[in-house]
Amino acid sequence: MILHVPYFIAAWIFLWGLYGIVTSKNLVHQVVCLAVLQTSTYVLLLTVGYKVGGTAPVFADIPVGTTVVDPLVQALMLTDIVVEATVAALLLAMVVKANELANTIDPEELRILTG
Amino acid sequence: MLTTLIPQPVAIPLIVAAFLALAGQWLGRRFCDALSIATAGATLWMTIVILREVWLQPYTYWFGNWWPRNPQVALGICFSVDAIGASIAMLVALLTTAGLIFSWKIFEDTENHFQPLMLIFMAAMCGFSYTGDLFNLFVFFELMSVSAFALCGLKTLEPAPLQGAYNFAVVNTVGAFMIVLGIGLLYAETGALNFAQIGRSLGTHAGRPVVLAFLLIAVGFMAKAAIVPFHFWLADAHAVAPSPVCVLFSGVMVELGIYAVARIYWTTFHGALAGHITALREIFLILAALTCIVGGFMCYAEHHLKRLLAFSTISHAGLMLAGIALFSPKALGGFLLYALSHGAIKGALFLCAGIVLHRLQKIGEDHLHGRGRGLWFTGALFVLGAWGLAGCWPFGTLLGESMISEDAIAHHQSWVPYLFIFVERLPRPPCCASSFGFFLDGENLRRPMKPLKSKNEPKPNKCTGELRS
Repeated sequence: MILHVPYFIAAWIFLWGLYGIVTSKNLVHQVVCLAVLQTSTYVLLLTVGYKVGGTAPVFADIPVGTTVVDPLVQALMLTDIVVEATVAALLLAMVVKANELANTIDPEELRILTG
Repeated sequence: MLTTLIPQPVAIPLIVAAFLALAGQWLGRRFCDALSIATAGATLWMTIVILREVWLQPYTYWFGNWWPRNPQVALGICFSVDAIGASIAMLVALLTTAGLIFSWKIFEDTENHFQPLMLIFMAAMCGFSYTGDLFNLFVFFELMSVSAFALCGLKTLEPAPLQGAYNFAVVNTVGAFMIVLGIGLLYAETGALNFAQIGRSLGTHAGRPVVLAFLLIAVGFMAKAAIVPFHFWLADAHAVAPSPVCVLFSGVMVELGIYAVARIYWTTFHGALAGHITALREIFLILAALTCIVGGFMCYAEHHLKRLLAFSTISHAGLMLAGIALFSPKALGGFLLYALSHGAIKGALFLCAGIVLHRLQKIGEDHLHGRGRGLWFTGALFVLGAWGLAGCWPFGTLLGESMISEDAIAHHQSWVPYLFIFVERLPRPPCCASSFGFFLDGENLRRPMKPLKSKNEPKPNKCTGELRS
């Protein structure tokens, strides 16, 4: 049962991130909520690859046959981080531009401005 | 020959895009245009050759020659190209070439990296339709999304494009993270990322995590396909994006979202979810019906030409979802035919809208009434396109529609044909009426043409069209 806890934590983080995105009144805050939502995928991927008693999968200085955690999910997570960094950078650039043009970062006000 | 050719539709546009982004500012506008059109044209030729080669026999290409030495375990990453993926990649290359040629005269400046972004977008979509690896599907999905967000917000000097691109980005990124969660669960269950290997490990039994994984992945891709709870980004994004970008959004990107659901179902979940198929069919068909109805009604309420076409795309996305929601081979064939013909027709319509926008600088229906008489050829094409969207002879939409409808009746879902009637026939009056209004203006048809300014002088602050265009 205790091994299932991380899955519930992932779901919990995902839902809070989603709640933040839906209710946010500030575009920067919304981008951060998106990042929070994304950390749920880290938790899930790390849980999937975890082995009880496993060590880091660096094979240079451990004896053959040692239990290690799954390196593949860590590679997936790294890709995931890169993707999220790109999206967050793009979104924040848009927020900066929106602030320059409309002088507000409240999504509701921005909507009124654009008609 | 196929072995050297298959990775090229992804690799060559990416290399050229990197080169253009780096050196574009010193090379001059016309050279960048010519190089990007040549690259897209070459990609089109390669996708056609690949389609011809894999027409009867799917082909699997292993990167770095990592083909599975042990037939049970695929460690390498592959492109698994079949006729469906190859034809969609061909449509991608065709529409990108058309969009780049169209942009030759439309865009005045090049400092916003339009051509490199279009090439990256094309490469990502080609990779997305070729790949045989679940995580690579996600990577290409994200590459496609990020270039699409940037293309959508290209005109950074106005607030509206930023707003549209921002909404588009947030909704699609939430969808992308659902896909990652689904992939994680599937990997936990099977220890594999190759489609075929996952399918084999799942066998015919599906526990709760597998059903959850399928739903997460399907919902993530449906956010891209603008299926109902996620439809609102599409109209905003289409209203603000440049016309050649709209061609790709409506013509292939939305179809790719639905295609991905079908591909994942048929390659991996087909055996495992056989016991849940009736429930899944009901759920997906209801979502499809809701999408059709929402898109259809919004069509009536809309006076902005590009938004009108965008809502029509939403309702047609519903129809295409109905095609794959039957989960049968015949309806899948119907979906493919429908997607290819819809993509080509919708692309042509958006290019017509782009011509109207370029010539008249207005895109609200009120402003355009009767002002398009000089553009009689564009008007004729527009009416022809609306005719094709209505599923009439001799367009492929008719054949796709009849295949899906027949199959729906065979599966005791006899209401699905009515959905087609609703989407294809009923919204045509606004679409056709508006196109006749734009281009012909019935009352004055026989009079000699007046100069544009003398009648229906637009009032700048009346219609939303002006602000959005």
